Amino acid sequence: MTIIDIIFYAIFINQIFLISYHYPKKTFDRNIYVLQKYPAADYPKLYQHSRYADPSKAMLNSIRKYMAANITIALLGLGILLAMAASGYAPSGIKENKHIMFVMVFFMLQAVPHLLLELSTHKWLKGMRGADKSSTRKADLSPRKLFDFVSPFYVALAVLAFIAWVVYYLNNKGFTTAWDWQTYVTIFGMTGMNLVFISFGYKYLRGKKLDPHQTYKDQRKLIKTMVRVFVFASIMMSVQLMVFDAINQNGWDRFEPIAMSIYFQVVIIFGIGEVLRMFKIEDIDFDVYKEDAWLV
Amino acid sequence: MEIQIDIDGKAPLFAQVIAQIKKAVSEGELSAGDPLPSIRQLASDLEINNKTVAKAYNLLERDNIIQTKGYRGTYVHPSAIENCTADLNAWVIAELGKSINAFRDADVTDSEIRIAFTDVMNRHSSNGQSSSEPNSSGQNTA
Repeated sequence: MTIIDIIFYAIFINQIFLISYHYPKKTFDRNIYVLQKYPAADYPKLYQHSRYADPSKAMLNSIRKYMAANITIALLGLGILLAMAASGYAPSGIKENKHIMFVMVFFMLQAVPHLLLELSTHKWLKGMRGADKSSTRKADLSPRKLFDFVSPFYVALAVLAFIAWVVYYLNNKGFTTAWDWQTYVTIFGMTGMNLVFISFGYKYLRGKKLDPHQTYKDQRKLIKTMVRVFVFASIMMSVQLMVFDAINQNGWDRFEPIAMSIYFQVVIIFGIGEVLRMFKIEDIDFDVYKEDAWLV
Repeated sequence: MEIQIDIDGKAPLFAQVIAQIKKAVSEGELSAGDPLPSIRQLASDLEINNKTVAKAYNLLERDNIIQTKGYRGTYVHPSAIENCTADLNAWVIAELGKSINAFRDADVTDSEIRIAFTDVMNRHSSNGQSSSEPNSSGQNTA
């Protein structure tokens, strides 16, 4: 086993720990904290009484399933890793980049509980909006502009990174060479992904509040967090593609699984990690979820 | 600073938006030069039609309460506080209108209303002093 193999195994263990244990545990703890500190009896607007007979129990069950799924995936990952070590799998011997599929597929599996949790949160917020029968509507009289939430430097960096990647990619392909289908898919795929980031960012920035009871201070904090996440995601995506182009150009295929795993971990650190860091549960105003919050 | 409207309220939504912004200016919560949200943002936050907010903004701009600086956005007009007093005139007209309707409903004639109004105005001088002596012209002479 070479040093590259040892690095790969160490980084892959970190991927398992970070994505399937560390951040899920933090998310689990946040939800338990909310359930214990802000019970359904005192904070009815936080729970969906119309959908569940015991909304606290339903929420607890969901979050337990989320944690159990993550732990199962973590154990599966460790099992695969042991099997790989036992079978003598060595990324240092990789000659074709198809071997990185393993890291990608495992990451996709790791992402499933997170995506399901995100979907269930959106469903929960939708239910909250549906249950809000108040005829009174509120709005903040402060404009929300992009640069109030993210530094122009990072936005410029995202644009420059994208341009740099396009130039680098086409330079590698040959500027005078006719584009094949792969080039079209890559260029339009990347542009499409950036447009998705922009549309999500715009939705948070200008769209209506996802949580109808949320204070404007908390809403602005959430917008700041999410806009930064999307800008960083765009930067990382461009950088990652340039790194992989460089790897392919220079025949460093053996580093691809390592680079891929590092990329996924960075995505999670700047994605879920950023949300957990910036949107601290202790700082959120939960009084808005009390029954008589309107009278306060 | 936040505004609040009642979608089931009797007043039209655009009037509620105007009243809320004028109130914020009058109470000093919005100062001259302060930026305001875009029409789309405010409409989205209040969950009302863009045209409703656009109508409110147009009327506020007409009254020099707000001003639009092209793509840079909408701001509170430098003379917004002074111009907000125009709102008081509208309020006075509205209140007098209500009273006149009440008097008419009670079969008081317009002449009687005019005489009574003049009488009350004479008794309550503009410096705030009021005279306790009734004016004989207050009698029904019409």
